[in-house]
Amino acid sequence: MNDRINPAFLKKIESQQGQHLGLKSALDKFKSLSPTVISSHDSDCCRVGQKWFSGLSKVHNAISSLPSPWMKSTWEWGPLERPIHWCQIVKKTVLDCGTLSALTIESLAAVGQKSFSVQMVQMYSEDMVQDFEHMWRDEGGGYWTHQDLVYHECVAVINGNANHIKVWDPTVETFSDGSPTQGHDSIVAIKVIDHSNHFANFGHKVIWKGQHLDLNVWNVL
Amino acid sequence: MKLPPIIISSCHTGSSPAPGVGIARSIKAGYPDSILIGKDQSAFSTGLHSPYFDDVWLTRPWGDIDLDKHLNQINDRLEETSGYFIPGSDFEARWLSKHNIPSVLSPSLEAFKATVKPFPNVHEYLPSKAPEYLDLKTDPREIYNFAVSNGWRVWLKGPMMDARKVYNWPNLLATWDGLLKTWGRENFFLQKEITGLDVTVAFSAYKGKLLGAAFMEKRQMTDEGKCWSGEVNACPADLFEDINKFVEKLHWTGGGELEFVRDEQGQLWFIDLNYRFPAWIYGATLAGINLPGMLVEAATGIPHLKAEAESHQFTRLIIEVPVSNDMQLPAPPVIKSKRKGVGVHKLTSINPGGLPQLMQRISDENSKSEAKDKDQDTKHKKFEKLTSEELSSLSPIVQSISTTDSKMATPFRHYVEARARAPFELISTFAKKIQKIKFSPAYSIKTNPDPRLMKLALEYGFRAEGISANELLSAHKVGHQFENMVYNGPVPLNPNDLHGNKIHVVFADSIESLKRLCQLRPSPAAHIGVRLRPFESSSRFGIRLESFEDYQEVSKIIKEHLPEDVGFAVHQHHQSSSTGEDVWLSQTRAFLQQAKLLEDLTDKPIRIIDIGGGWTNESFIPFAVNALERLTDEICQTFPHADEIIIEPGKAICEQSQFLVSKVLEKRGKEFTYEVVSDACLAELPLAVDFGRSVYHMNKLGEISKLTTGVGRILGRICMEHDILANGILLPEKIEEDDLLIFSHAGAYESSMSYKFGNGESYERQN
Repeated sequence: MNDRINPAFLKKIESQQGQHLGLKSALDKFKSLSPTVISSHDSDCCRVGQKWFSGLSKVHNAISSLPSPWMKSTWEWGPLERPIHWCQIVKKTVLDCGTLSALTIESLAAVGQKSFSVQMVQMYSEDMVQDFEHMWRDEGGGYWTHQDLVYHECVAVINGNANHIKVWDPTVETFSDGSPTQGHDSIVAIKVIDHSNHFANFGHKVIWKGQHLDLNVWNVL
Repeated sequence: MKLPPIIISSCHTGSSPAPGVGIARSIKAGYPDSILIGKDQSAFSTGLHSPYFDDVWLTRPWGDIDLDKHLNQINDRLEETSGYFIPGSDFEARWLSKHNIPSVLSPSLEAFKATVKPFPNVHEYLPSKAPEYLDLKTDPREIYNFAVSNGWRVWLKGPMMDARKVYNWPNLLATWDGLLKTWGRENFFLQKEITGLDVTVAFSAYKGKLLGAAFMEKRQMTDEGKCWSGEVNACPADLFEDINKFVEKLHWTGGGELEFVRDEQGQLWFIDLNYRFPAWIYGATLAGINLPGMLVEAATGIPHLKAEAESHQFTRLIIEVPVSNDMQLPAPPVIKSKRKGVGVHKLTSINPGGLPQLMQRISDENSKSEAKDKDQDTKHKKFEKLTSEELSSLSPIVQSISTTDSKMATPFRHYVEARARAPFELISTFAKKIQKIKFSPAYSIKTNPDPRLMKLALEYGFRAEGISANELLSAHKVGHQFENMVYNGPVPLNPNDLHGNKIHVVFADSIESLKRLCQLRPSPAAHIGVRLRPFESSSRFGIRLESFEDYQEVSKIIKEHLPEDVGFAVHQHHQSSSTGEDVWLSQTRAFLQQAKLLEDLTDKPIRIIDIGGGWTNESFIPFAVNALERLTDEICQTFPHADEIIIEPGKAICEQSQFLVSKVLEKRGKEFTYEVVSDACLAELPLAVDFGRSVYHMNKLGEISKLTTGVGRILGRICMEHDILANGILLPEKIEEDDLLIFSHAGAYESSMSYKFGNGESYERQN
């Protein structure tokens, strides 16, 4: 686990008092979770679904320049079984945050825009986390929760040039950049995934909200 | 050293609160022992019951207070106590600025005069631009065109207060009427809406020196657009420096608020300036920026307690407080009548002390003082000059008047050949220029089936587009060939009505219609197409193509049932005059992508792309010149196998071709509130109130003037409440019976939808 957490932040986790006390064990619990990938049956059932989604992405892109400001009108947020295939997505009315993020990446790719998976840990109240676990009772329960912390997936888009990024949250259809910095709904750790070496020239680092984040490892905020 | 008492005015707290209570809380935070007096003009001003006021000064409402006497009262109180006065309303500050009282902490008259809204020279003071605007004292058609060119994303504003977003012409007129009733004869203007984020800066200045500024981002707003929650931070250094120069130039004293919108490119657009602290001012104090405290310190030399920032975010709460025993609530409501119901005292968003009346009184004073200088000028501004084209178009009527000795039979439509030809010429020239694909303009028969216009369409190579078989047959009568015609409407095409003739393309408005058309043998058209509903719209027209199921259903019909020898086509229509050109273009690009996806899913190449737009005559010309060629290129790139683009400009082709000429039957009223009864009515001008048009007055000598906006009305001749041909128009004092009133843009639906009414004939006899 430790090799997946930015070492510079390890001390920060260990010295955290109070609200972040459970972060280390949360990250340990979430280490098996990787960004959602949409599967395909390699047949027309999935090919047509994927084609429809890509085409619809281009339609929406003609109207709005935001990453995917339309998914909530098509799918509600909620529990979803895994793995998920394209032919299932077109029939679903409810998708989870990982699938919405994977679709956003697919949507941006359809209009020629590069984007990156983002994993994060957010803080809520323990009561609220218990509600999440109850919602997910038929899909594995609390595999993505720990005490008052939850695992969440979003999408990073390049903000201007260089290695500045913005984080788009398709579950709530807004940028996470202005989200609370502490307490309810705050982001306590973030991992930006880039296996394409897109940011190799920048020392495999991106800048988000003025902070330098190491790629592919957890950064504690 | 003891702080002298401070009077703070405008204390109402409703959904759009005044700043009095926030100023008081801030001063109490800086000076816990201060004596604060809440002043307002109504016992309904709820903030007067706030515990932050040590005393209350309640006066008569602004509408009936003796202003000179009240000024003396203010002076006396300030002199007696060596106190200070912080006005909480722009109007009160404006009124007091004329009297230059040193202990009134508000801007000078010069500051007000230099910054009159819409403040077009704001760039000389601040790093921002003023959005495009139009003074409403002008030709109604000009106002309409301004709104259309901005896609109806416009705000109706007064120079001192109030701003309302307006959505269409009837809404604009109703909103304007409401504002006139509230604020009196104010100079309103229409301003383009800037899309972006609201950015607000509150500041405090004393004798031209900026004391502090707080930068606020709204996070939650009320339905009226007023801030309910926000985040406050220190003003960015560069903007602070610019505001510093601004207050220095204007020698500003008092609070102030600058409201901007920051667009996607980061440009600041000036939206509003308030000459006092904003109502959220205590939110800044909570963030550690006590601007009223700084002002009082600068004026008195007594330092205020510097508070630590409690939070950079604030929200409003609604709480109950005890009513002051000295100012108890009014008597319970009474039942006035069955129709009016119970006369409840309603909480208004506007200050209940009658600020609009103060504004009117200030305006009247200003008008009187300026009247002498501008009298001559004002007379000339009442009516717009006609262009040479307008004079030429209306000259036959002038000649008729001189020859018929005012016995001209009215109402009638005056057709102007040169006006009719111009758009045909324009689009035909464009079509000839396009080489990479066949580009066909189409004339919408329903818009006006006048044979003169249909013949022009034929002459200039337009296809005829109909919504019924009868329309196509009427086009055939004037020479249009069936094989060039387009059928496009909600009525399913019955091939029997075309007597075996085959047309160029027919569009299905529904799934059912598409199935039926695909099954017809022989096919009634060389191409069968689908009309797509504008994406994510609630239009009743066209086939919705959004969900996976929508695409599956449509593509299955096309794949399985479209005859092999019939081409595939797509169509979309939405009104550019409602959405503006930029939204029209983005909707059209979305439509092209919808069609492309349909093509991909069906493997049927799209041969014809038909687009319609509902442009106004004035907006179509710049569209054709600036955007149409680029759009044509985009269509060709998206559909390399397409054979043809059809464009249907709708009313843009013919609305300007005719004027409706009517006669004044009766003149009513006095002064500037004249209204007249005309011998025309909604039967001749059925869309009279749906869009703006120019109205001309012609007297018996043939002298013509173009009317501007005002408070007069032109009433129709029939007994219907809604038979009003023009609302909000300034009629000439010398208008007389038998003078002519001429309405422009009567050549499209105004003509084709007109009907006979009030002539004593039944529908059956007329038909």
